Amino acid sequence: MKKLIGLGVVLIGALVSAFYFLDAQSDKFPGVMVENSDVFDRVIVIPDETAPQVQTYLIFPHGEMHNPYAVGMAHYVEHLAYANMKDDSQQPLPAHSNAWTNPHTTGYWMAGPAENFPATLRRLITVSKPMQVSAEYALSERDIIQREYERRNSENYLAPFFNDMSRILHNDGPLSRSVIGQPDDIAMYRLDDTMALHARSHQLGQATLLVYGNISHAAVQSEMAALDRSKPMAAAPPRAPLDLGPIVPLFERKTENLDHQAQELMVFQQLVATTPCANFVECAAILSLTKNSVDTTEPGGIAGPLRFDNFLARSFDFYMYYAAPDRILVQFLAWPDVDVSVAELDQAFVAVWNDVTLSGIPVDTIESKRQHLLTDIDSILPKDRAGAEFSHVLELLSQNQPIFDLNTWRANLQKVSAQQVNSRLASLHNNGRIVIRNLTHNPQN
Amino acid sequence: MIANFGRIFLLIGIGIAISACQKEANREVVSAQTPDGHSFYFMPIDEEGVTDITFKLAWPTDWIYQSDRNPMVPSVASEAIVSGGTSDLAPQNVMQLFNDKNANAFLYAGVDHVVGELSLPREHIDQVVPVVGAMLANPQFDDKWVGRIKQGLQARLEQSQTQSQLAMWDAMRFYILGNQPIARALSQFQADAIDQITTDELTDWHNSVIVQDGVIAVVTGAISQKDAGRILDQLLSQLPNGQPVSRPTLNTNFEPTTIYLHVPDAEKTTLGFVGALPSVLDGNDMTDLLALQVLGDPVNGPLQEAIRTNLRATYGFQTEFADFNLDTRILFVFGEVEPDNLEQARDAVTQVYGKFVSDPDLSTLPELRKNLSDGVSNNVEYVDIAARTILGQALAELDVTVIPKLGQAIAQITAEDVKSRLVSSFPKPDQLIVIVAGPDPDALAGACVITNTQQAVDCR
Repeated sequence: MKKLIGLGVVLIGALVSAFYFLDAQSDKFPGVMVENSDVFDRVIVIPDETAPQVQTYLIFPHGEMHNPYAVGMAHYVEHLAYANMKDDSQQPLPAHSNAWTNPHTTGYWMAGPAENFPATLRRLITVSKPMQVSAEYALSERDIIQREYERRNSENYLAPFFNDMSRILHNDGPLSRSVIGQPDDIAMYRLDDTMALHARSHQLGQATLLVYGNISHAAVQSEMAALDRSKPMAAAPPRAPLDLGPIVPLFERKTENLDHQAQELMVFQQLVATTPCANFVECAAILSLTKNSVDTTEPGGIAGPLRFDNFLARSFDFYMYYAAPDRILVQFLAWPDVDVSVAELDQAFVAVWNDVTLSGIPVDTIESKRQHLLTDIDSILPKDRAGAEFSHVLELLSQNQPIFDLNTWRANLQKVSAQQVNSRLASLHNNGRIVIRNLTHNPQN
Repeated sequence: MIANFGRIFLLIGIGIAISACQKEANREVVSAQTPDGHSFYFMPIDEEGVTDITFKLAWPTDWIYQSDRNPMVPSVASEAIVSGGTSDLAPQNVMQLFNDKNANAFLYAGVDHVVGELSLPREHIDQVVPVVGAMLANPQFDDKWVGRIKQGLQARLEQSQTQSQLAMWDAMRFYILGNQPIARALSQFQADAIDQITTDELTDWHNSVIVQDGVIAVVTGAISQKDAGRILDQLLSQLPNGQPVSRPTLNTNFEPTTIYLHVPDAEKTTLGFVGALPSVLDGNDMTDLLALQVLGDPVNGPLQEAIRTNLRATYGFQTEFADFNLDTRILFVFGEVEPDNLEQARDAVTQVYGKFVSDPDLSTLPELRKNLSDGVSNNVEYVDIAARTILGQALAELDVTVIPKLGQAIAQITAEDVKSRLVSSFPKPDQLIVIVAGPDPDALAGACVITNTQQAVDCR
């Protein structure tokens, strides 16, 4: 049943597939100040008088997909760069501080009272300075990452299958790289490679500074002006677009044997090439409404034939998003119902998916789903609006996607036509690379 | 899942807020009665833009304390009631209705209570409430639908058995609770019991638990007290009368020991510590939570400093508490450790913990307290989170009127309060149970080595 979705979930769910161009005109971007900077690529300020503190993020547009060294090394660099912040001062870091690495970006953040902002800004900048940590500490950090790998990935029966699917789907390209790597990779990280990757990926001139909370735009500007420029940072070289390779059509279906205690599962992944949009917000709105119109119990959606009219899938998850500006990824995961084999579920889904992409979705269903998406935005209370804009911008930045505000998003959702939704579905029909895994206890069936 | 989590966790997360009623005191929690005489707690929210209402209902139960009852029945029945449709509406039609009306309902079977929640915009009351009333009064235990739920629950439990860390907590529960029925009910390793559930048992559970009497109810949001009472009567009036339920006494064993759960295929070694804390009924859980946040602070906390920064043996240690039931609360500390450093990690955690509960460094308390206070103040503004928090307070038999100002109350907790609590109420280091799960049965000298979770009872 549908939950009254929380703010963050609304935004993440609605925008996970978004790819947009930045419109940096402040007058078109109310409440979200975007400007150029001689230190950072850009500075974004979202003031919110009601917020109890200031959250400051420094986001580099380099993630694991940009790492040419051992798999997972971008994450290792993040650990060491975070430690760099500690070595610069005897003061403890705020308890609310952390960092992330994902395929697209590496980010660092701190939160605290507004009066700490100057110190916070200077601390965050140290992640781009040459590593201060000792070689002994840096090498032993590999052991820490082994423990992190254990926490996140060990005893995860699905991980090997998903790694394999990702490798095939993305043809061993940059998008197939694991963010945390494998234990053998982690053990082999070399300091010289690490330093080289750090210098390449942590250029302030390529980073975005995002500031949200009870701080004024003027206060942020004042601190920006006060930054010490006596030792100018090296100018960031222009970054060439990453070559993700062509999408060569493929259809691969495999049945794999599962441990008897693991849940049987069917996984369908499809990667389809698309022309990069001239106006990404429009394309993203089309894709979001398409996804929601497919993933529904309403007429034309897949929930009826797979879960309610027929007892085929006990439950399922359906995703559709831009894996990159020129490629759309569709994923369907389903757990088979009582006395239904994974192979039967696979056949049923493929038939339903072929039908949906060929026949399209009824207009009434698309209208209904559009209203749901608009209601999700309209139900944000005025006092929560700045926080919602912040969550929304942060999500886009963390995926290295161009940013836009919620009004723009809403306006584009309103504009999407049923024909655009069904054209998008038609473009997915029997197209691109399709990888299916039937994970079962009885592979002979 | 470790156990039945306490009310703290009800505060975490974000809901959607909503509005408007009459001239009742905004955001003031009062005790009220429905026209039919049911008691409930009521907090109106009359604010611009707020249109949501949340109803929370808690039915007392002792089902899983009884040895002659299948412990998995409450979970299956609860899910079937809210997902299985009504005599007039198929499951997908109910889901469609709720989607269309932006409504949400769930039913959760806990140890001492079964908790239900309905949240919806006020303009959809007339369409949604009758359906929820029908689901509660006349659930559809359709064989095929129930079979799907049973299969899903069984598959999830079986899969959880592949996780050595979850197995470790299962062993810990058996050690503390012994062979009492509740240990079996909380275990991840009782998937076979699901197969045996009959429709008669589901009906029996429904008739004996989902009743009119003894319900603890809360209503928050954009509604008048009069309308709230009328709707509660609408939800409850079709239910049968019930028998009084008294909370059984739980026998626990916190005798310190060291247990090693040998999992040959384990891909990691997890080190855990468990001790008894005063129950939720004690009313100091915010102070306890702050103490555990200082201890487990992943940036500046003493465990992080000792085990990660200095010993280089872990990614991090987590510190939390959880409730087996309303009377029994545990604290637990755990993390994945470098297998070769297991003994050193155990000794270091013990030393750090011992220092912390006798002479703590609370220099990070102000920042952590502000974060918690701000977070709680913000979250209780949301209609649904307010209702959950009020219910948690009511179930703990504490003063519900403090909830709107709970964040401010947290801000008043002093370092002296925390230290006093640590010294007086937290277990001493030599009172902790040490439990490990990993692939090497010889890794910890002197440990009671077991190979399945129920054997932990024999370590007593």
